[in-house]
Amino acid sequence: MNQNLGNLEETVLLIVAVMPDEAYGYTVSEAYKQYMNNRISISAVHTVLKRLEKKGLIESKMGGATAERGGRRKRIFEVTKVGLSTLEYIQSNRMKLWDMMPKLNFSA
Amino acid sequence: MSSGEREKLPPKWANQFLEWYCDDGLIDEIQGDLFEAYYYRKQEVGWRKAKWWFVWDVLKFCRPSSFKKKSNNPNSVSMLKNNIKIALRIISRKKWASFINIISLTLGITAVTLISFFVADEFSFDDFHEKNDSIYRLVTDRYLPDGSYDYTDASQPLPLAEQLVADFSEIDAVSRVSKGKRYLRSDGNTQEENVLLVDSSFFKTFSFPLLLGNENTAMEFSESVVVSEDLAMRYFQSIDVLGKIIEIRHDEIFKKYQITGVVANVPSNSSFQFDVVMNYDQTSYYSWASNSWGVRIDEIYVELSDNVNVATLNDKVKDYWKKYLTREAEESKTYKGDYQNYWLQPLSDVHMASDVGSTFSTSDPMNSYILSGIAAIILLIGCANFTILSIGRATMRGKEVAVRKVVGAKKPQLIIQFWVEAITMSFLAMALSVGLVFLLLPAFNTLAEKSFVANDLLNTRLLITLPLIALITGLGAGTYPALILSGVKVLDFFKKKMKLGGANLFTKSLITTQFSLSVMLLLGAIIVFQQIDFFKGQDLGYDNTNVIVLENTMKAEPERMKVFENVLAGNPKIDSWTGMSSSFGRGGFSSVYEKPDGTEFNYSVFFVEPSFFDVLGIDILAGRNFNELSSADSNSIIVNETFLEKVAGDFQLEDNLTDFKNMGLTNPKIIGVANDFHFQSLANQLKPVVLLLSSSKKSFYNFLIKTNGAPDSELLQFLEESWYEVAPDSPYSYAFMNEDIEGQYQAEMRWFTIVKYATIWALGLAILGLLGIVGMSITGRLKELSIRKVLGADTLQLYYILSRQFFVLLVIAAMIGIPTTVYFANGWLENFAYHIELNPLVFSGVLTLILLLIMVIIYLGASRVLKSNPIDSLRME
Repeated sequence: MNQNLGNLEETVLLIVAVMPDEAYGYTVSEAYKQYMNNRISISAVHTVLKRLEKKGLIESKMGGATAERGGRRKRIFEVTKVGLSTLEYIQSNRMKLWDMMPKLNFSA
Repeated sequence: MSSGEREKLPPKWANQFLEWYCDDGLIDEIQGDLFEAYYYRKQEVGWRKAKWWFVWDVLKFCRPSSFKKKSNNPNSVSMLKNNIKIALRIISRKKWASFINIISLTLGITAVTLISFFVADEFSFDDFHEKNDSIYRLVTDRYLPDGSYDYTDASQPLPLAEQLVADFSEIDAVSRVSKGKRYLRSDGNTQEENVLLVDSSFFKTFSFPLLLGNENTAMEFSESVVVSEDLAMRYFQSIDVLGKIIEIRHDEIFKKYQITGVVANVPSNSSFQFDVVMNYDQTSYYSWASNSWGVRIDEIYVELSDNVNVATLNDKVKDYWKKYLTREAEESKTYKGDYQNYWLQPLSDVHMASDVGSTFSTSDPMNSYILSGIAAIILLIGCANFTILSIGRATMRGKEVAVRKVVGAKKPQLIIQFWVEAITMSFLAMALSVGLVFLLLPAFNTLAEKSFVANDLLNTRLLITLPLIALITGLGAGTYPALILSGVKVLDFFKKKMKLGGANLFTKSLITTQFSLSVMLLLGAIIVFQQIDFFKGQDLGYDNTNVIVLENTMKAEPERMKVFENVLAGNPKIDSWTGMSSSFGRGGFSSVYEKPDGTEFNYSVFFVEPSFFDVLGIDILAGRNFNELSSADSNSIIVNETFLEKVAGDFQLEDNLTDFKNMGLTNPKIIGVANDFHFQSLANQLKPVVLLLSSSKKSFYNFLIKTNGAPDSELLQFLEESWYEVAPDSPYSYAFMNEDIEGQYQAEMRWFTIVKYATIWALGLAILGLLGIVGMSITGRLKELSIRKVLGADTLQLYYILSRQFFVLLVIAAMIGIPTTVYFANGWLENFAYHIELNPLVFSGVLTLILLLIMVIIYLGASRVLKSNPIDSLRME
């Protein structure tokens, strides 16, 4: 479980994980903007998604077309089991660290 | 409504760009996401911003990962690499053949490059003027009374220019231009310079930038001149010469002028070549003609306004002369057709208009075409060598082609392979020819009368042209081998049915062409050389050795000449001297004499002194010399034999020539007959001559001095020093008479050099081609030769078998080459009144020479095989 994930990759992975059946290029970039208070271009999202898929953390399938998309289909991403466990692994590692944080405020 | 709808769509061009580069497998997600983003952003931030977002995103997606995948691209690149690698291997394996190939192509490319310099320069004349497109020259077509066309020339009356601007609103500015040579003097340094007389608008119309001085006012002051950078350096060693004084000689007098401008050196591709510019209005040179409509001195250049239709203006200009040339207009009524027509010639056509009479040097476009033709022929011969050798090696390459085909190579791939091979060689040849071009540049400059400098040529144009020439050469040379070799049938090859190799009809005809070109050029060179030699060896009827010709610049002051003659008398190295109207080869007067029976003939006139005959070694065959003391001799003439023959029926020695009124003589008495002499080039028929005794030395343009023995530097120095002692204000200029006379044959000498170089070139290429084909045909017949040897053929018989076919080719080549040469040589020799007759001995000599050359080359190519042990080649398998 030693997948190296960059900050952006981790965030995008998280976003995909929390948006079942709805994660594709445009929605991911919108979600990123909404939650991270920061803009990211669609092309950057595509790159990250592709990279994550290559690492086996997410998988994709072609979804339906809508009028807004000019009749083009969506490529919908879903987190894989490996992806999910990677996220949990990272999170648990972080938690361990958080637990070690001196809780000065509470010991007054 | 519809426009509102359209506004809502993303920019069409960006979308098309996206669809163009994006891979089909990715277009759904990428274009879909962008469209969706655009759709929502439009509502959020407005369509303008959304549009820009869209464009920005399309650009950001434009990267290799989203590009269309071309499955064949990487393969063709590596095939190209492989092809080049194989080409280089073949070059290094077959060193001798590759050497011949590359040298042939090098010679071809070099010739084309050099000649393209020449042609490009010729066609670039006067292009550097910024207003090039709107400058025109006024020229006149002239007609004969019977309505037929006579000639076209560019000289116009002086007052016309001013009227043109006044009468035509289409003409913005006008400048008269005429050129002349003047002596310039500063600090005792006197030289003859090219002077241009112009109007004050000259520097505004033409782009000759002034380094110093104001182009608007430089020509406005009286007695002011503009000089070139080069002239300033020569006279003042600095270009900072504004306000300096320089003296210019006119009508025998030096007059001071102030320098008011320095113009950058004139580009070599300018029709006007000058070092000094003066203003018509500020000099009095042509004041005698400034209001005359009958004297034509200058050329007129007009600058048209924008958007002027030249065709319409030409219609208006055509008969414009009738307005001012009233006498001519009257005269034109008796003409059957036109009298004369004005028209405007674009400035860019001026240099190539060699058929328009002009004082500025022009160039016959035919020269460019002929040279381009020569270049093409040389390149073709070079390519032919390549083709011959490649076909010759077909046997060797056939195996490779067959194997490649078995493995699955397609015909186009093989064609590309052989093309790449040819192009690789032609690029190697190109590299060599760059070196050769710079090596040959000085010789080429003399030949082409250009002054190309190596550094100037290393420009972007060359960097584009040269690879282009190499590419075309490679493609051209490689086409035939590529088509033939790629067409090899695999089974035919393995069944040993291949009939390529050696010499087929195609290569035979190529070799025959090379031979016949070599025969033609070699014969041509010899004939031109013989003619020049004939000119030089001919007895001219006078002796021009050890004669110095002086320019008589003090002819306005005959007293000074007397003093100078006294000085000459004091020098023992000087044998005799004489003044005459103009030295031989420097023009002179001529006139027409009408005999009593009404027939006319043209004769030349020279003003001489009694010492004329002594100095030039011309004999008086009958009668007597002039006597300066006899007043009767001012109405006497001495004629040459030809003149006397022409008038023989009517007059003889001691007769008075009736109806002769010329040069102040009336019915003069023929007192002597001199032997005939060729005062003109031998291209001209010997002319009748009348010699007159000059009453005053003012009519002597030249001064001839005969020295005892060859003139040495001490004597030349003595002449110059004593000249300036006598006449400090008269520039001294000398020449040797024999060099003057030889200078008449410059054009022929130049042709000789051109033909000589072309011969070396063609012969060299033919020899290379022959060497190659001999080598090939021996390799192809190695086994046959060895078997013949085993069966008892000796070296001589084998040699005969090998060379037989080439002798047949030479005979065919001679049958083509000799009649062609005879045709052209006769045409050329017709130009000369005195010329050699074509000598069959020369023709057989040239053929023998080429035959011997072929024999030697074949022997060189074959000796190794002829001497080798037949077992070696028979045992090979």
